[in-house]
Amino acid sequence: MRWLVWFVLAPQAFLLAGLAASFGVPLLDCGALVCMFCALFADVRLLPGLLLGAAVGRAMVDEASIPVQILVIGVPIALLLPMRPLFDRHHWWWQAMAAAMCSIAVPKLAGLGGLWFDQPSASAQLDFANVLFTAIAGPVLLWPLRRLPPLRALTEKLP
Amino acid sequence: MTTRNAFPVGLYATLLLALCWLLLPEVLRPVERFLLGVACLPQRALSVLGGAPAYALPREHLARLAQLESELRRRSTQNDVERVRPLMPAALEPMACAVLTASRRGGGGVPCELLLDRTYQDLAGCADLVTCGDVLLGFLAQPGIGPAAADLATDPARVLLLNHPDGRQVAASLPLAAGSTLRCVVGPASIVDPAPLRTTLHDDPYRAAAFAEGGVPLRTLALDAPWIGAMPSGLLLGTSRVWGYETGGETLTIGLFVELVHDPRALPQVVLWQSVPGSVPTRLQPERLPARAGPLPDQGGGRWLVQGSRSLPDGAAVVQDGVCLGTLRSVAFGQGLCTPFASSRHAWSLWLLPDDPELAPLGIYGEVVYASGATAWFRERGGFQGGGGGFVFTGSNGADCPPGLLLGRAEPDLARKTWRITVPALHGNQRVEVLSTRMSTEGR
Repeated sequence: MRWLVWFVLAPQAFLLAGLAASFGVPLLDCGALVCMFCALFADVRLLPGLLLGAAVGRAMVDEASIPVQILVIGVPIALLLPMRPLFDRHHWWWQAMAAAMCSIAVPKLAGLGGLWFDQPSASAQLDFANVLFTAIAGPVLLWPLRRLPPLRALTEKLP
Repeated sequence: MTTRNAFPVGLYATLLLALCWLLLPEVLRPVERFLLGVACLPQRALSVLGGAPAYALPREHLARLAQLESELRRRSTQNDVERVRPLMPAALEPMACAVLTASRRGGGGVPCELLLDRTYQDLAGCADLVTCGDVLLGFLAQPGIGPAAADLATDPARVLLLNHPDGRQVAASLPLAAGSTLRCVVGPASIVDPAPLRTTLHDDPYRAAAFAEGGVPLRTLALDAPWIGAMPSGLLLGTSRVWGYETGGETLTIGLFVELVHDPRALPQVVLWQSVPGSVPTRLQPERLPARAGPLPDQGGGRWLVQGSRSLPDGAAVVQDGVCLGTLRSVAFGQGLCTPFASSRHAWSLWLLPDDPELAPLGIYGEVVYASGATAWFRERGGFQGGGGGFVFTGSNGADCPPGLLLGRAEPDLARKTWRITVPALHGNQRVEVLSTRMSTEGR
């Protein structure tokens, strides 16, 4: 059931961020938000499914195909995941840092993906206003989202 | 956290799968189409709330659009034909053909094959020469022979450009400073060479080795031996490019290459020469599938969810009253995701109709580098050609996105060395047409 909810809601979240941006709200990088959740809070056994749902969502709002989106979102997760035990993931400061890093890495990787796989996209443009907004709003948004379905069922359970 | 959790196999396997997916995209394309199709279904249901579809252009503008298209064809044909007519045999009549795609890397790493909007069967009465202005581009392939071995007579005709590895070599002459000429044979260079064509068999190797001037035009040379194939004299092949080493202020030439006049990717139209007078040419036209487009709130300049009555083709143009909105990525359940021109970042072949009636239409190839709303800044590959403003149409962007569809209005941005292209800004649901390769014919 959690997967059904995830695959239904995750793609629509990307469109919702675009809709909010069309009303003048700064653009939240949903790809970076997913990266941050997967790297800091997700159950690592569930990462493939989480990644696929997010890649489908990003492919709806971006020119590049799903495999490029998997790499764009998955590579920052793979780099950040080993650092999970190194810092306190519940600390706001670290969450903001992770969100900022992801919102820089995602467009940069989209640019590289476009270059290497001949699938350029408009999302490769790095906007520091969006990086700042994602760094601030990302942890704030993620706090309630982690407590709601489907993310609640996909979060790592600590012993 | 255990080491196993820090380096999860599942994540790495997914990344590896993505790489394999990119290497073999056709294998997993149905999966991608299905996943995106399912993800689009909620938006499809929501698009009903967007109201009745609207048209992009007021009706009074349609006549103006038809006039622009007619002017584009007339001026292109005039420019592509008139300069070369005195060089061609009087018995041959010109026939302008639109280019659908430029493909396969040839000499110099640039495309070496063109696909035309006419079949081999319809071009049976044509000479094999293919020109554009006074430039010889290449030769018409024969179905079932050589590079066109898999083609049937009813397939779109293929042109082998001069830089095609299996293409014909031509005799050429190169004017030298002293008033004499250097004769040689021009043929395809290799993919890694600095230019698409290379000269060989110079009639005077010593003068060829001493030649160090770039940008000198090479023209065809008529031969007396008719079994080689009739070749008019004076057709432009390209311009010289000397490749070598600097040795004490002098150039040690190791290759005399030829740069093409036209980038094959920027060619929207070519001219063939038919020997059957008065023959009415047949033009292949994609079928137009009626569809409905609803806006998707993406994070860039807006995308469209297109819904058709049946499966929509990948890469097809989405057209509204003759205006091209963008190209389509096909997904499941008769849906497609349309990326508008301004939001796209892939390369486009465009056809510019300058406002100045004395100027010939211009083929340009490049990509959008920046967009703000309905305005896109388009950078040409190979350098900004400049010139006056005008209306911009599609060039050769694939069989489902044929040349001659209006995109918008272009003005040169001299500060950024780009074209500033303004496209129609649309809001709400739209009634559109999707072009499909299921060919129908006109002009029979």
